Amino acid sequence: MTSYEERTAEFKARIDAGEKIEAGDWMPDEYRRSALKFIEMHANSEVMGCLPEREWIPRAPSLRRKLSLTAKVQDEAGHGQILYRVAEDLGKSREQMFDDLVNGRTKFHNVFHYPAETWGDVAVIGWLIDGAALVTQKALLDCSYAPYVRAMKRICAEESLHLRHGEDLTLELVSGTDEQREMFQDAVNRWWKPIMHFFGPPSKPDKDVLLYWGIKTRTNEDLRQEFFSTYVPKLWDLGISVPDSELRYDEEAGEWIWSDPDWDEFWQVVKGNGPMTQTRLFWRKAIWDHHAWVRETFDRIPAAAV
Amino acid sequence: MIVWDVLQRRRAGADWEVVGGVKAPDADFAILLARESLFRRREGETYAVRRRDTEDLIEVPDPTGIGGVIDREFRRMDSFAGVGGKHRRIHEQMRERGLVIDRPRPPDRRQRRSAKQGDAEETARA
Repeated sequence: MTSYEERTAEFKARIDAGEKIEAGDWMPDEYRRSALKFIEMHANSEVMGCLPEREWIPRAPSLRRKLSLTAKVQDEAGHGQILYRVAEDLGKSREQMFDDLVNGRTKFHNVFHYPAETWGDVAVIGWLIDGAALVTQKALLDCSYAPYVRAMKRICAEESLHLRHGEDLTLELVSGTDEQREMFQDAVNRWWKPIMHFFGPPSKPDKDVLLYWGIKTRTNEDLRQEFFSTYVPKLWDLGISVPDSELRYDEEAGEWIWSDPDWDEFWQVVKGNGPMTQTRLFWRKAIWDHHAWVRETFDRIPAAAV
Repeated sequence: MIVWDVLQRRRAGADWEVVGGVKAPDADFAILLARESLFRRREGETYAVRRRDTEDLIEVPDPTGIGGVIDREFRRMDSFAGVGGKHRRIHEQMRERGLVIDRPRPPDRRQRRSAKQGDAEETARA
């Protein structure tokens, strides 16, 4: 009989050879746990990410912007549904995942713990935060877990559309009145640190269990560098500055130098002590409770015969 | 609740490929949920559901409904066509106003591509 260690070694060899893992395949406990935690957190972030933008749907400046923003929020909720389905196959029910989320037992991305104060924030969320998300999500297309890769293909396609929506909002503000430009600059100033936090602290490849199992394929720092290269020149082209006096591109080293943000704030926020954490969780729970009748009705429909 | 795999056929005659899954009490609900979560933008030619661990495909009865009434301009990439050009135009305006921040930056994609082409031509000549 093959021992657990031998099966684990064979499994790791499959991943190292570039094979993809399906939901029904045997997998080591550590792989299942790590993939579940990561995908659950991603799903949580998609549904929590609806809330800051949702607040702006009634206040959008035109009907077209209102429709566009509504469609984006609907997409984000849809991404949450797709990802919860992927996570369910790893052994945790959707109900349990939601219960853990609304009771603060599981995490969601740091950026969704902050307030969206102005329409400039909506532009920053749509362009820079979705841009940061797209950098990380495209890297997940190489993930070792096949159902997650299939989900990411769809999600990345929709996020590319959101990015255009966000860039369009940005261009409108930066080419508008002085007040509109200031509104966008102010939003960039407030969101820059959360965006730096979004990629996480520099990770050590040899100690990162997600990298070991091929669930993540690139380090936090690598992704942050790609974000700088893609978005900082575009911001500068529009005359928008970045609130980091040390940020510069080192041409010799071929990398961006940036100042370390306050990581204590990051840890506080992801532990559930962000400025909007409790308000957003309250709303998420209220919406979950309000729609309980839909789930109950669904549960009463008899399952199809085999 | 039953787990259903969702399969898509991108073009007429193409193979079916799994694109995701839904949980639903029966095939009708599975087809409905699949459309709402995976086919809002006229993705592919048609789709089907298959109860997990079985072989029988249940195709959507009327694939013309994919995308449906919610397939509006703000949902399509082409509705944002021209954003790249707009960005370049506004960049020029900002340059004229002296607002552009001119600092060292990595070569952009076009520069990287032409540098690569130059290297390849040099190698070919050598």
